[in-house]
Amino acid sequence: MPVRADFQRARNEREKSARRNEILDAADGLLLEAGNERFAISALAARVGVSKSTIFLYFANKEELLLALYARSFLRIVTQLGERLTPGMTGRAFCEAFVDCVMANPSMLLLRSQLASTIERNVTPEVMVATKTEILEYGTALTNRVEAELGLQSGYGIRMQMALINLISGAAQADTSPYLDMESLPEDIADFFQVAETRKVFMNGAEFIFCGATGRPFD
Amino acid sequence: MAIREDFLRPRTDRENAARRAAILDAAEALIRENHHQRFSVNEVAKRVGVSQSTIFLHFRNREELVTTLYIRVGRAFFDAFLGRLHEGMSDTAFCEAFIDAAQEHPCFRLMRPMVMRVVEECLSHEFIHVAVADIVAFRSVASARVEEVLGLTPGQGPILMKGFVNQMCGAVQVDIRTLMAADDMSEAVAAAIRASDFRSSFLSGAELLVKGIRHG
Repeated sequence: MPVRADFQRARNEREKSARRNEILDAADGLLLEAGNERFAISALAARVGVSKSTIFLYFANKEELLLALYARSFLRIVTQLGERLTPGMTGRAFCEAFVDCVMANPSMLLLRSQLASTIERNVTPEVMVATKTEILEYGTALTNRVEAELGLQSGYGIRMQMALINLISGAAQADTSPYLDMESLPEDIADFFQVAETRKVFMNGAEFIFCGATGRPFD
Repeated sequence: MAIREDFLRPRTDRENAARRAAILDAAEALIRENHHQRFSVNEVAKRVGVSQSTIFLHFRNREELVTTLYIRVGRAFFDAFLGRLHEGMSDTAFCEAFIDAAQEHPCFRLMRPMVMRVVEECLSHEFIHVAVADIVAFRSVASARVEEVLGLTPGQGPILMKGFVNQMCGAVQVDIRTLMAADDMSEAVAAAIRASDFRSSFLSGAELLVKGIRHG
């Protein structure tokens, strides 16, 4: 059954899933604009053009919605990275693809920083396990391909990916460039903050993580 | 000159320094207790037993207090780490020394996300200058010692340290072991959650990084 254009009340599974996605799209936009501290369900409802209670038909609370958004961003990164894998690609090419895909879906990093502290405390165990299972399935499929395409020993794909995700999360956390007006800073201070830029910091560390995991040079 | 017990208004440099330290101690304790929660100057003042305006005699604003404390807890963490290093230790022992120090000194990683958000606001260039110089100084000491202990070439220490700090701060974000009971999930999911435990997740990646630096 097709999705009726401009439906007000979702009547079938397809319309429901379209509405759910629409809510997540709006949440994504709002999160990037407002930051997670000022993220409010009322603002989200206004943006989608529905009532707050409609949002709660799809997600039990704000945390469940953010967890769903986190999972969706994560799966998108995995899918996009999967598309960029080529047999025998260099470590540098792989790590650049990795950082591109992560930066193209910034909600993942934004939400990851509050996973343990808030999101997962307010979500039912069932939802959490379902989310973990989904992420694990997609992640494992990618890991197997990474091991095959890059010629990694079994077990090293997951270690390398986990290390790279931790590295980029830590690097993004210390990246002050979105908060600073570099032009207004004296040069030596600007230099100090510039070297903290996420991509640069990530590539510096990723080179050695890759070499440690594969035993091969980066290029 | 001795510090008078229970002084109300600090009169000497020593008393001033003691008051300043007491304020930082109180703020640190609040962060330790509330974890990720933001702390307010009001709460800090209450705990020290002074008024908010007294706090502002020592720190121009909340941002200066946060940054000053961040530098202090960073130094404490790095000192604890360096204290655990000794010549001839294995790479594994080296990685463990880092994560042990991180677990003993949680304020450094708790404050790291906080401090990035405050640098834009209310910090004078002069203040940032001093802060940056301070951070650079103790990081260089740590990097040099790391190069010495692991027998690395100059320049590799800073890369290693940066990689370690970032991996550690990234690893702690998904440590949800304590939040989940392992009996209602499949073995694969349970195993994945165990592997994302702060310590194991860090050690797994840190060892790859050290190995890679040795290769390169």
